[in-house]
Amino acid sequence: MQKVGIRLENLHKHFQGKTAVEGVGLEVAPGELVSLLGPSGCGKTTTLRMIAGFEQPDGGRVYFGEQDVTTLPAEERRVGVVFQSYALFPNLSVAGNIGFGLRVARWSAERIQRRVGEMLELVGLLGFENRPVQSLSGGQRQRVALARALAPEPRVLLLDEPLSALDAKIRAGLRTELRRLQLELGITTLLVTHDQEEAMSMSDRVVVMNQGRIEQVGTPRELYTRPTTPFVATFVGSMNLFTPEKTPGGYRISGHEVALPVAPAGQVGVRPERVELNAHGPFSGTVELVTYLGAEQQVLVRVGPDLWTVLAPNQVLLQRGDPVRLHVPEDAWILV
Amino acid sequence: MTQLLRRALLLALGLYLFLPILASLAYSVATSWTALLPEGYTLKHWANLLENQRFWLSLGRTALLSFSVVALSIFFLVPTLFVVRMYYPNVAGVLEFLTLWPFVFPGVILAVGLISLYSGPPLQLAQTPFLLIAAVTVISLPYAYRAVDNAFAAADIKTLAEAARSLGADDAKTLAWVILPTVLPGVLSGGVLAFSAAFGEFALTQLLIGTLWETLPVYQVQLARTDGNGSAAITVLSFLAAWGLGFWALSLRKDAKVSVI
Ligand SMILES: Nc1ncnc2c1ncn2[C@@H]1O[C@H](COP(=O)(O)OP(=O)(O)O)[C@@H](O)[C@H]1O
Ligand SMILES: [Mg+2]
Repeated sequence: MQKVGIRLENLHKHFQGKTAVEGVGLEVAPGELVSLLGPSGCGKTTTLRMIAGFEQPDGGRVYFGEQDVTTLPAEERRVGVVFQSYALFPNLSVAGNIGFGLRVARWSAERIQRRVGEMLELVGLLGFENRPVQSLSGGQRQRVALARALAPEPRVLLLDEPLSALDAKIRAGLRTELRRLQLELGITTLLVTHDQEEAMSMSDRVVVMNQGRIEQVGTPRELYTRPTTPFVATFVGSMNLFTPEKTPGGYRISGHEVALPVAPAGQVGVRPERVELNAHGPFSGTVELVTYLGAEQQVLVRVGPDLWTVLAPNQVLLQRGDPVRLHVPEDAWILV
Repeated sequence: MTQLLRRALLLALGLYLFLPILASLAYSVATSWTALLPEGYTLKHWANLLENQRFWLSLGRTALLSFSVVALSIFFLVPTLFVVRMYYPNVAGVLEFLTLWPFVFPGVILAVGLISLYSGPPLQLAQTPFLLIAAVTVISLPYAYRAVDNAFAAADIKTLAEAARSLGADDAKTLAWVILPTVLPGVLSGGVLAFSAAFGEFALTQLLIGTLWETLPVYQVQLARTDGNGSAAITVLSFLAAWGLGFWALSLRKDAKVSVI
């Protein structure tokens, strides 16, 4: 399989005067898995549909490798698409679905049969070839949809919320399997999801989108440790976010004086797991709510005007109303 | 509600639905019926009916009318709904509203309007079977529309078509290999509904064409004046035909495992 990357240049799309995608530019390297992550309605699906050829951009270009495919019809792009709703053909069996693209491409019957067998093995559904698709579970259906998309050896794979319709447990299993398959085949893949855990766990890089624009692109680790905007800081993982006030000696956060390592331009934040319960900490507050999470506990602490979220080891016994003091190591502050 | 009450209700409904048919059946084979039960039984009325050329002619006309209505309904509905579902989803509501209009007009108004419109040039169609077929198609459309539209909606035609296109299928292959087979059970079951509606149509037919081109319901009403037993036999025949078609439609739906109604 020849590997190509995807390049998006300044894509624009609006529907009835309402902007859906605004100036999206992105490069996906050959063999890379990149996620588009963002809240519902931020333009992820529209971006994917312009790459697939289902939607014509109002502005900008789409390239597969060096080829400009912006005006190429969907049926000539050689993309594999997996939809949230599976979109299996109800009149065809499992084998009929997987072999559909091959039949369209006029493969011979034996070649189709062999390829369908390979694909069934790949997605762990050997023996299912003659089953009607209606008799399959959601997870099985999505495997068939994946096999169908991959069978004609597409140049790129596009997944639109492929796991969102599945139960939590099946979702987790299929997540790992999908990533394993993608690495094994080395296929360039764009995954659309609103689930940050899914994006973080599966991707080489994550593109965070908001209101039709790209907020930040980075590896999962970069996004988590060095978010560049307040939106990314709060959308990826959770974050205590403050607007500090300048004082003669440093900065005031939640009514307490602190020293910050760098002068903040906008807001500063700290991840809940980096906040320490420490009797000598500068922030004094009161416990409002304790949520037991098993390995740890999430504690909401009222500090002055703000409510802090703290992840604490669950050996510390805390109750609503307890006075606590909080400490933030200097390197834990994140400036956005 | 107690179980007893539920059963009683069910029984009452069953009686309400089946008693008239049973009574028609009994009447069609009764010699004379003045007391609670008929005095004797005979197949004479059935024999008379089946030997009567007028019966066969009117049945033939009704069949022609019904099949024409089915063909026209499908011919208009399927491509229209495909285009609307694929490219103009916002129009779907308007379309549904429009198909309900025949229910709003009383048959008399419709008939009077049609007759005066088509009595002169450019289209002199009044009192021809063509006008009748066209008019009955229009008033049968709501029934067929529901079933066909549900088939399109249940199958999420747009996404299926996109899946096919991403696999390399052009519009013709998408339509022939994916869309049509997917909506076929719904189309057939819509056809059956349109067929039933057209088969039993009386009011509009009587007003538009009457005995000039006598259909089975019109003949049946005529017959009822002189031979009530024969008319009852037609009722029974019509019910059997309707049931046969109904069960056939149901079995199609089950085969296809696509919900269409
Ligand atoms: N076919 C369409 N017609 C009108 N508006 C649309 C259409 N598709 C998407 N939109 C709008 O564009 C915006 C982005 O949608 P979408 O790309 O589906 O977001 P996401 O996939 O991130 O949830 C939304 O406001 C949505 O309502
Ligand atoms: Mg979406």
